[in-house]
Amino acid sequence: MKKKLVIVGVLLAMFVLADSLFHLTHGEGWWAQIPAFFAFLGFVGGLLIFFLAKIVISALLHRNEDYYESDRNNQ
Amino acid sequence: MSLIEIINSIPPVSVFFIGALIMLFVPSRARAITVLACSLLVLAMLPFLQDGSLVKLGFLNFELVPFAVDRLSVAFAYVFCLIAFFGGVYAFHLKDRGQQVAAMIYAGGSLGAIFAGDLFSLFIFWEIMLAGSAYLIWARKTPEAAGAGMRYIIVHLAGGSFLLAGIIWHLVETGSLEFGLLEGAPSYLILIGFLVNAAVPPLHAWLPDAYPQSTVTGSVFLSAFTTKVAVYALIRGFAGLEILVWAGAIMAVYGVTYAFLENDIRKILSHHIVSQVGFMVAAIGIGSALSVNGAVAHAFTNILNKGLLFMGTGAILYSTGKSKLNELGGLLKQTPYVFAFYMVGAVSISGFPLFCGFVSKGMVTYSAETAHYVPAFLMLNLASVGTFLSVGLKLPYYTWFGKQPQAEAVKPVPVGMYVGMALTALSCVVFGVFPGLLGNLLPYDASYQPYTLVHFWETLSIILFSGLMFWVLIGWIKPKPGITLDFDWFYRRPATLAYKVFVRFPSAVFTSAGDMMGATVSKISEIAANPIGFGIWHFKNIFSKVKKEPSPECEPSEFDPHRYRSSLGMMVLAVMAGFVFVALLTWLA
Repeated sequence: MKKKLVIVGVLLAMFVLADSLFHLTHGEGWWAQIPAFFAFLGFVGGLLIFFLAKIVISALLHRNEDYYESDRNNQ
Repeated sequence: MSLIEIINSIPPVSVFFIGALIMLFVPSRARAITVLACSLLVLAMLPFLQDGSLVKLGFLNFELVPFAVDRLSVAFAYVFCLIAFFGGVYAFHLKDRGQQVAAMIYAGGSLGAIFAGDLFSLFIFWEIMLAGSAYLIWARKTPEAAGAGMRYIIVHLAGGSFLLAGIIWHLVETGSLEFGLLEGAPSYLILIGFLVNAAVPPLHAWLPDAYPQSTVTGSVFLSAFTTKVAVYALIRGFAGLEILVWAGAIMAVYGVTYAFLENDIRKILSHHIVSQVGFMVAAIGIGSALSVNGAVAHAFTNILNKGLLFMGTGAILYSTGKSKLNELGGLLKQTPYVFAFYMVGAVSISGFPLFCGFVSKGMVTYSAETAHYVPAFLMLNLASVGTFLSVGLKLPYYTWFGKQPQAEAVKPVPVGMYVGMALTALSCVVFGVFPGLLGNLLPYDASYQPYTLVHFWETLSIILFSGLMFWVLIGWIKPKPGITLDFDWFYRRPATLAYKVFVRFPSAVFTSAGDMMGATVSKISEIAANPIGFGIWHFKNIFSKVKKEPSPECEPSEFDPHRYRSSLGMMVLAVMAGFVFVALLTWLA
């Protein structure tokens, strides 16, 4: 896990450096000012979806496979 | 009449419906060939259609236009014919007449809807599509499919009712059935009808409920038509309606979040349809020439990408009989080609360069950016991240890898399915490598250059880092069995309650009333059969605390005169006692 995070950190640093040097991110919004914005978006956005899905929605709304059928079968 | 004039007077829907009629009477191989022939015939007719061609039809006091040509309709018609052809090849092995005819009616109805020149014709084809598509769900013949198909029909009939009510109101207010940009109060009813079919949350739950229950080949057709016809209708009726930008952006993220959670492979793809249609809905809401072109392009590429993905997962279901990620895994050795074709669809829909998804997704996000819808732009990009995570990484990883290679033999996949996948995969690459082919079909004038360094850099960053995120968290992403509640809870749960209140409760009342009546009648008949015996028995039982004697038996079947002797004696005694009593009274007086 630690090793993986180091690799991600190094790659992210490389992307930030490349973007600062060559100004590859263009756009009219504030995000264009952040170097390697889309790399951050990819990683942090992925974490956000993971958090939304696995932590929030899964905790609140996850049910057994037979959730809807169980009522019918109990007759 | 020249050939071109003839072509311009034949609605493509009629080709499909005549094909469906022929298919009722010919053997299975000929039916499969009819599907292919009809799609190719219409595909060949499309380049000759001229803008503004009309076919009019008198109906009651109205003049309907069941066939009207413009560039928007033709763009959708191309991709509908392509997917009908590819789907037909994929389903070439099928011997089920019902499914083949239903698919034909469904595809024909969709072509009818996109060429419908007025609202009433649109409504007719809208409902024909419903009939064809519902059959494709029921044809799986499982109890789950039966339930899901019924819910599908009910939701769509409700949506259709809104649509029809809106159309009638619109007709009363404006006196016209013309299908152009719609405004005013009636248009909101029509909008609801469209939004149900476009699967916009909270009206979307029918889609992930029904599509995964359909047949292997049916899901390919389902994924293509219903939602995309709704996208077409939204473009024509509501382009530029701002609320659609936010509805689309929300549904893009919503769909992908649910897709990320799901365990069933075809349900992942179904939730993901919601997300992808979100891109189109958002683009329609923006309403610029570029964004509407983007919506059309994304619908076009998405039909191919999603069709290919459903073909791949369908092949897995066909060969293993399983569709749950926690039961799948390690299938690479048995189904290497299915994996390869699936991955073409997956990377295309994730927007990899040189695949068609790269072109259309770029158009949509770029148009959101240039129209200054910043939150929508960011949400659409977030949905792209989720797309790659769920469809591009999680699904294939836990289907073909994730476990030790499986030794069990799987059912071989028919050649037609492979050829169908190969053709669809090829088209994903062709439209990606030659974006001009797609660009020429788009309805409005707006230039867009997909292959720029900026777009490459954006895509590379998003894909690489969302992939890294998957790699870091892979231990936590493991699929687990179960379902995630969605908006269908609001009608499925009350349905159970309604079932209890309106079916089980009255049935319990009637049953107990019936039982009570039965018990009363049997007691009365017991008493009536032998009143004295019963009376004596009862009398004895009052005074003896322990009930020793069984209840007297009912009348024996054979007549026995002695049985009534005692009661006759009692009667004579009573009469004699009466005489004595009267004589006594006379004497005393």
